[in-house]
Amino acid sequence: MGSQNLDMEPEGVVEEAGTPAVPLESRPWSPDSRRCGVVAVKCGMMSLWDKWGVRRPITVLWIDECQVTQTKTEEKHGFNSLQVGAGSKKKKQVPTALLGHYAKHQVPIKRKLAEFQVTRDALLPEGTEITAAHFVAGQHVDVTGITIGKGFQGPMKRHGFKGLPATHGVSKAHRSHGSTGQCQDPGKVFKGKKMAGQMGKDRRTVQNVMVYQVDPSRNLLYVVGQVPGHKGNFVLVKDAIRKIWEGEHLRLNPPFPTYIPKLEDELSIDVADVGPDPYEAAIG
Amino acid sequence: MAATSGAEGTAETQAIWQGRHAPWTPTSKLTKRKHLTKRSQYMMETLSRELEQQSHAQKFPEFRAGDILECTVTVPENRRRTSVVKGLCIAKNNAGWNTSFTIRNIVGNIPIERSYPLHSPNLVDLKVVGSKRVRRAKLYYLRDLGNKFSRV
Repeated sequence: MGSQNLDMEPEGVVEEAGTPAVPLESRPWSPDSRRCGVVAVKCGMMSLWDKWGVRRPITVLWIDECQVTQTKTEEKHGFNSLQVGAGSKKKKQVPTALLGHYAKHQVPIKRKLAEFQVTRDALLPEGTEITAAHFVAGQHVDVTGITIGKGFQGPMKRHGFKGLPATHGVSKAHRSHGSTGQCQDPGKVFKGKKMAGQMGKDRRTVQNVMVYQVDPSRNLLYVVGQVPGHKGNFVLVKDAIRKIWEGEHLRLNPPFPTYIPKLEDELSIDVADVGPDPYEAAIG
Repeated sequence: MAATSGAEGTAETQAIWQGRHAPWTPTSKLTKRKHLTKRSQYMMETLSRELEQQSHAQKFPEFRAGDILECTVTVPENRRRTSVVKGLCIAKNNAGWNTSFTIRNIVGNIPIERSYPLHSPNLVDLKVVGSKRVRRAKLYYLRDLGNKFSRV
């Protein structure tokens, strides 16, 4: 874990009793660093052509004012993490307990909360906004969402079972799962036996999704491929863990711990570097 | 692929949402909030129309199934050489940014059908050089008729 001096206290930071205040400042990456993720809305899919004319399927993710709502530290909570919230809700729609939570941490009312475990050097003060500029085009992310619900489904659809033959005397069992085990030994059906049941509407993560384009002025992320869930649903986006193991973050250098806006910054669209011409290799 | 120009956009792109809020406006700044599913739809449609507006395909003429087209295409697999493809448009699938069309021709006694996305960067130019009277939007019936009906 990177050990950073967090004794500085900039104005406007709420300090909980017994925990050091967390300053908002840029720091360098360390090999063990893990930074915060983001809560985004899956808007839909489209396709874009890259500079070589290769067509890429794109999912558009929109970050709706994602802010840090709570900073959890090792001293007080036993671990370092950041709770972030996105979206907005009307006061009357929110239970009083949650209203108190937002008031205590002095953040506006959010629609969706999520927590990301981070390393010590990646902690951010409450109220920090995490925008699309947090990510760099060309990096990979892991996107977590609730998959589309398919209802109660049979084993052929749910687990890819082959079913039984359509003819040759099979009686009313063409899509069934067939045998569920052995005989007297073990004399039971194993727990976790694949059977019919609820399919979908569960939390899944798609790993190593490439961020093709970042539009910071609109807070849009264009990622390649599909992400779990319906359009309009919230997804959690964070740096791809397997790519961190490969050292991608040290090579591409996304802003750490997050993008801190400066007045003179001109935000332009960041498009991924897609490498050399793929058709050159084909021609030889 | 076109570059967008920020949260406000140019006057041209602002005409897409016509006095309403831009689709990526944060929810806290909206007075009336529709469900996120509807707002996502609005977002995708706006992005698609913006890309279309800035696409090089804007200058192509309007065409439909039954028109005879001459398309100048670059072939990436062949060192990006441009070639001219001529044929009868048998299908046009209008889908905004993902609009595509299919042209059919007889090349050396062999019927050839080729589909192209309208906004593909490999489709350099498109000209309408004739038209046939048809009473269908999709002319897939030509596949069952003889070659002489598809020859242009």
